[in-house]
Amino acid sequence: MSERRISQLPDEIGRDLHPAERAELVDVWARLGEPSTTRMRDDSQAWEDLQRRIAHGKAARPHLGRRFVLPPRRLIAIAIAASVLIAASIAMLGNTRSTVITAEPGAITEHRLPDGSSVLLNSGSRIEYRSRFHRGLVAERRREVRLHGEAIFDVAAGHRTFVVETLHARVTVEGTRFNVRSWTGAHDVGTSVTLLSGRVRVHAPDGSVALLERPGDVSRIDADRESIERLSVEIDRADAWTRRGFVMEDAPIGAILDELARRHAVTIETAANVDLAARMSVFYNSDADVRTILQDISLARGLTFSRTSVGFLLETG
Amino acid sequence: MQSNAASDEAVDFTALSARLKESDPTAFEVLFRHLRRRLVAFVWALVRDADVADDIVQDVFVELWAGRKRIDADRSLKALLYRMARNRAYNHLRDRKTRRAKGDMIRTEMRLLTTSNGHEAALDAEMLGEALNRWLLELPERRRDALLLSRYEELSHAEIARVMDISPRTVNNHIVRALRELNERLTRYKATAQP
Repeated sequence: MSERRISQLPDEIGRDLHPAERAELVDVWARLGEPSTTRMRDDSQAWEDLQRRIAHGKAARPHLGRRFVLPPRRLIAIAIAASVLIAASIAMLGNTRSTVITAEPGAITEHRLPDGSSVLLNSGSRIEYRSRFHRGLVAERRREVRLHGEAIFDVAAGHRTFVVETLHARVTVEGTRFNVRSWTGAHDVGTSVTLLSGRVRVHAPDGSVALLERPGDVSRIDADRESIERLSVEIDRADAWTRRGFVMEDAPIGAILDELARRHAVTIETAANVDLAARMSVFYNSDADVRTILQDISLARGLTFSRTSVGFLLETG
Repeated sequence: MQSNAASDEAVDFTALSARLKESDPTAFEVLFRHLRRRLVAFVWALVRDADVADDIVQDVFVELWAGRKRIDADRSLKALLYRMARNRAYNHLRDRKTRRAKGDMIRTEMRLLTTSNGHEAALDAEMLGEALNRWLLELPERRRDALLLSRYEELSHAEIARVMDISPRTVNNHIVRALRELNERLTRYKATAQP
């Protein structure tokens, strides 16, 4: 604030007053100290909130959590004990910021993306995208989401291409529903894309592209092979996890146990002589108990399992 | 924690106005970072609720952006924003039952009485400054607003006239009356404080 204002009554005020009275008012004016005010959030936070309000096209209501970074409107937790971790990280340049959404082990959660698309996240999975699909007040050229884990995307129609990026593949989409599975770790490393409806193009690091057009079309990119393998599956099996089912087709035991552990939020240990590379298939179309599944696996592979303080232990029988 | 922006002299509101009309998002952000805190402080003086004040100012900027093409670059952008903020503040007070506002007033008065009665020593300039500020917030609306806008928001008579939808002459009258009232309270305060 300029010095002039703080100490001196502006000339234009009280011009017609008697000098003596005006002198008193000059005194009062000077005595008015710093205005009492309230604590308020900083400009950058407020700016982020403002962009959010503008993007949503209407003024927010006072009682909604405006001081926190909220995920887009609809959030449906399918799992009973679901909790979603949302971390916002502020990018170095400009006003861009990423939203990270994680489904905790044991949880299956659904989220709406800024463009109206929705994504179902399987246990232990994580997606990251630039908030609002905007940079500042300007829309990005494409809608991009990075995925680690497994998710089903229901992509809203729009001019901009919808892109899902995993460590091994890039999936471009126009108005479609598809399952993307991409894990790192010891087993089952690579990306699988299953088309549920619509059309999807999968791009591999080596430049090859697969077009998925029929529901059930699968493209698989293994981490070591880097080119695309095509398969076909029944739709019911690809999205069984959304009904809390458990389906894994011709997968290494290690991968099956990893998935089981994530889905049920338990730790599954194995004795050294258990062959984790051996392949098998399991089909549970709807909610299946972890013990039931372990029992079946043990029977099929000649193993035994026992309870531990943190989950289960599998050993050769 | 005052605004970290430069003084108003350093900001060219006319240029910002023109750029805003052209949908320049940087101009919008500069304006926001420069004026937001002052606007919140002003609205807070009216509504006395930090959350509501924040919301109202956010709404003002949403509205400003929505109507940016209609901005008259020749007229004071500052005045426009304060006008929008003030109108919304009064809408809020009207929608909310006024009983609550009166309750706030009563509490403030009681606090004030305690201060003067407990005051034994000679006048303390700082305490007086605080007291004056409280009395300012308790002034009748028009007098208070005119004084706030002049004293703390550095608006000219012409700009205040635009904010409050009155003539510059009336602005002057409100400010003078506000100062007179504060002067009276100050005199009474001094009188009761003397041993």
